[in-house]
Amino acid sequence: MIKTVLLLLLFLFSLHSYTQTHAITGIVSDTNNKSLESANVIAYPLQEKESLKFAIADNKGRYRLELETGVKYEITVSYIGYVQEVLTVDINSSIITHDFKLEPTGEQLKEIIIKHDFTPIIIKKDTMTFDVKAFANGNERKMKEILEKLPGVEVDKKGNVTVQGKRVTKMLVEGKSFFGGGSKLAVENIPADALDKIEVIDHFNEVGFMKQVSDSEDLAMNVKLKADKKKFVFGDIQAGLGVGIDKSNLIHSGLFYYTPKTNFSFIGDANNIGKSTLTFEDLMRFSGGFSSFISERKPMTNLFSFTNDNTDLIQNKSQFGALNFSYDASSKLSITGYGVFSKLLTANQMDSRNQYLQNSAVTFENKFQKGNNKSVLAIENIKIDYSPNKKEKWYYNFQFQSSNNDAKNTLNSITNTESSLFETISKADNTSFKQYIEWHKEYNEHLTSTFVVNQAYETNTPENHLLSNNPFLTGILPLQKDSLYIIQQIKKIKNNSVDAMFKQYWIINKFNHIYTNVGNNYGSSHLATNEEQVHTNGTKNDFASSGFGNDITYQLNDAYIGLEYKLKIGKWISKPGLYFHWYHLNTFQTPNNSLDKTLLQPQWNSNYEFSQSENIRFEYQLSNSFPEMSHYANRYTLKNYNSVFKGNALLQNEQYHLAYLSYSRTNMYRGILINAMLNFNKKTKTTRNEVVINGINQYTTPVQTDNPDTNWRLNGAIEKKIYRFNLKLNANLTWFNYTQTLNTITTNNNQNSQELGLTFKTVYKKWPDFSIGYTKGFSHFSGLTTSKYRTDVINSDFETTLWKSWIYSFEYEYLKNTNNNNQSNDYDIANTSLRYEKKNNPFTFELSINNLFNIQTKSNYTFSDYIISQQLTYILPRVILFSVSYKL
Amino acid sequence: MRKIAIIMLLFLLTSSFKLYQTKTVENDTLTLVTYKIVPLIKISDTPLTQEDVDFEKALDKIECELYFNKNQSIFKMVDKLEYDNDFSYQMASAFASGTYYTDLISKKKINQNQDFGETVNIIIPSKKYKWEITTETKIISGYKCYKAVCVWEEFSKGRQKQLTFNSEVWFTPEIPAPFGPLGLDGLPGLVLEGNLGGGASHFYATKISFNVNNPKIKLNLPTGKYITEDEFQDFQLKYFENQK
Repeated sequence: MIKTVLLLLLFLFSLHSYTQTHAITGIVSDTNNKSLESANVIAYPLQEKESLKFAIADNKGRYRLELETGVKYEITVSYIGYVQEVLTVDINSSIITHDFKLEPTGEQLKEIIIKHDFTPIIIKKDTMTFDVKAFANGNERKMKEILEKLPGVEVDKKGNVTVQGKRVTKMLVEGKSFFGGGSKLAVENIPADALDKIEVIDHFNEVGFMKQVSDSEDLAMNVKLKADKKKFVFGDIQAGLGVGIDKSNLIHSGLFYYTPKTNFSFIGDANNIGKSTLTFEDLMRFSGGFSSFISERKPMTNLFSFTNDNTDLIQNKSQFGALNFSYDASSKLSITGYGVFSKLLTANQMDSRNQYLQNSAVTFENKFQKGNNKSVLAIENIKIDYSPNKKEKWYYNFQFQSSNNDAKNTLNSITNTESSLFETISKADNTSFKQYIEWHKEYNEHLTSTFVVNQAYETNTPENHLLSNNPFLTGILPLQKDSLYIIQQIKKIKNNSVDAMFKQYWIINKFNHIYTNVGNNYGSSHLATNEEQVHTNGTKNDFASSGFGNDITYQLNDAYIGLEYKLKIGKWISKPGLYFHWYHLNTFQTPNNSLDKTLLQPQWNSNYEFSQSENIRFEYQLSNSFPEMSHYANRYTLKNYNSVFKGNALLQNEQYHLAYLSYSRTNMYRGILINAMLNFNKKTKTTRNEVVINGINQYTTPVQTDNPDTNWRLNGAIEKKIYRFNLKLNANLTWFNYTQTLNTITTNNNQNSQELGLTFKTVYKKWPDFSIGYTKGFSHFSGLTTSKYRTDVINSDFETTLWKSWIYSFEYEYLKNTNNNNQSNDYDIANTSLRYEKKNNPFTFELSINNLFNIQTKSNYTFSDYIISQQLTYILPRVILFSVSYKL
Repeated sequence: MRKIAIIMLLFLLTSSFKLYQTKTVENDTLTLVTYKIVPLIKISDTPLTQEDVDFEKALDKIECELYFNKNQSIFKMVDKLEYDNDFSYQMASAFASGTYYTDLISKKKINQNQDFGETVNIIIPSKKYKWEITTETKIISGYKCYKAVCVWEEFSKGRQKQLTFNSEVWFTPEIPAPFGPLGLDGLPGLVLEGNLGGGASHFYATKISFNVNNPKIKLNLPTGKYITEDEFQDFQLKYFENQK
């Protein structure tokens, strides 16, 4: 032991003595002999290939500098606030001590601004590549399957994508909006093998310089394509044939063409098996046509029928085509656009058993409905993006939309007193033009502006014919005796709106921003309704003399100014705001009415970020809204075979408090995700329909009261990864309290529901994907009556790859409803498929079976204030489909 | 054996006593150095994409602060309200993530990281950067600066690859403080410019303020869990594994 130490010492010593050195010692002090602690003594060799030597003075100013012999040095002592001293040491100098006495410069230094004459050092950029390859196994067909493998990313059945619990609201391909930014079209159509990189951008804002001030909650996902997919057409075509429904068939194609300047995407689909290409959100986005800076006006037309897989139908034929393009005319100008065409033929059938609750009596009704519906929709949208320079941006967007709906419905209503047969034939044409212009400018680093003008024009002309073998709504409708009762209803609705807004963003300093808003929203609408009985002999009986028929013009102007102050204190961002609104409402009918209101609307947003993965958010807003036009139309309108509505010309604004509290924490290290959200909504001035019910007939009219509506909603989820499994517990709780007048009796109603779910799934690449979940739901209503319902839902999915090329999947859902009297009904639905797909082979073969158990109906219970209903919905039967896809 | 233990103990006691003494004697003033970042870009013939431009712009807006007294320093990025939402900024800020503490007396260097939902204190080995001071000099805003370089290696468990870094700093002996940005310190003078190497960004000082009064700044080493760089890599690996 000792030997080795000695040897080591010897070795060190020899190293040390190998080069000959000589030391210089001394003291560094100022002219008053005050030592300069920590002063650096630098010996700069005046010969090439020699290294620099240095020493640091100790607390007494002493230094010891080891220099090499045979080298000429320039020894410098510089100390801030002192004049530097230089000593030259010659090759064979005999200096062994030297004291440095530094002269103060006399300046008292408080601050130094350092100016760099900067030439960035150039080295190779080591790009952090987020590579799709790293997560994919090569068996994926569509982008959806890739996304499901990315950490923290989930895709639900509707094609919605979430990243760490947050929903992706904008989908981009190569930085360009893909079909208006909808996610379903992208995830279900972009081929997996075209993907190179996927980026997720939180708080996305299209305008670069707006990022710093925007409160955008948009989460964008940008897909980067592989270089070899650019300049080529890629995509796939799928065709399938099968049995089950008359000539079951499916044709689907997604084709893409991308070049640096121009790109096209085409998606086409035709099927009769109830598959939909769009989600409701996608369609809302398509049909939006509004600037995101203007709170969107409610569209008149309901496009819901065009969306979501709808198998709760007995027939569903769909044809869909959509084209998206983008073209960069220059580095400053680009044009993007899309066109969507959708045609839908559906048939539905439903049986219901209703109980109409009156104060003392109950009326039972058995209702059998059958209907056919044909809808056609076309949307064209063009957006021009112009950036004259880095600090200015213009957008112009134009949208044209046209749709029509033809429906035929037969209905058999059997009550204890009568049995009536109704037939409804409806036809509606809708057209709209919408355009907006947006301008953003950054004047300097402290001031940015946004100016937006939005204009929209819509017309809607629904026409309904109601035919019945018996007189109905007797006492309300002035029906004249005939062999067949035919009621014709014509409605004409026109909306025109112009909204403008100017916003200034002032950045005071790092922690304080002030935003000012000035705006005006103007809307003018006209509604005309007319109901008449058309006799079988051709003569007409106009209902106008009995109080039917409306002709109303409605103008609402909302001028506002607002101030928002955003500040950051440590980890806390807070944004209080105050808005003044001047509302002016005119309704022209008999009698005319006009209303002026000045309303103060405070709001407060606050976000505390403990860390990047844990935050608490709170939002509060006092809001006002005016009822829509039809609520003011003060004459009767026929709603359907058993209900009539009459507006109220004297309605005022509704006022409500909105509060929102959320907490989220992700700890990926421990595999824990926690999300909790609490929503509170209280209306202090409430508009609610008063209902008069007689047998099955209902008469409703809106009335304004100060009775509050209170709504609480709590959602929460906890997810924990345990070994190779993921366990998720979620809860949804709602409480709703409101006051309802029914047949002149006012009651306080409570509607509560609780839903608790537990999901268990495998999370391991090498195992088959398996998940099973159980959800238990309770709903409770208490008012005039009390109802309690329970639901039990089991969901399960399974997917496995066999022999590398065979993919088998199975999904199952079981639902059980139980009512007050412990009566229950249940159904289970299963879909399964087997797919053969070989790597590097463009063909894919798939055999799928939908509705494996060939269930004919689904049943459920619903209830409202005065109707308890049990419904039986007929669904698409079992379909066995064989399909072939070819990948380009 | 027992004797050795006693000697060791005595040694430890006396040395810690000494530490204690020096600390109390201190009557320190606080100095603040503000740094900004420029990217180390590759020259290429392809034009820069908008993202690159945004990224550079975002980098330009990042400000970091180094506070030090005689024996301790803390370095971290300054939070700014307007950039919380900016992706480029967040990307860019990854280059300056964490809080760096240096304590000359206990000879400890800590990088406090909160990127993964937990606060972890990573011990940076005091011998990590073996600086070689070169004779290359340049004048930055009137201060003569010397260039120091060091080469260090790290095995990346995530990438299963040995990575080599060429760190480089420019320090001025005129400001006698052995501190710098991102833990790049231990030189006879304040670091006015520097980068970690391996493609990371280049820090440069823009302002030095002497005798600042900021009672909120705590230079003492953080308390809590201390882990080694190796353990931190395992931690990161586990994090990414748990994501899927």
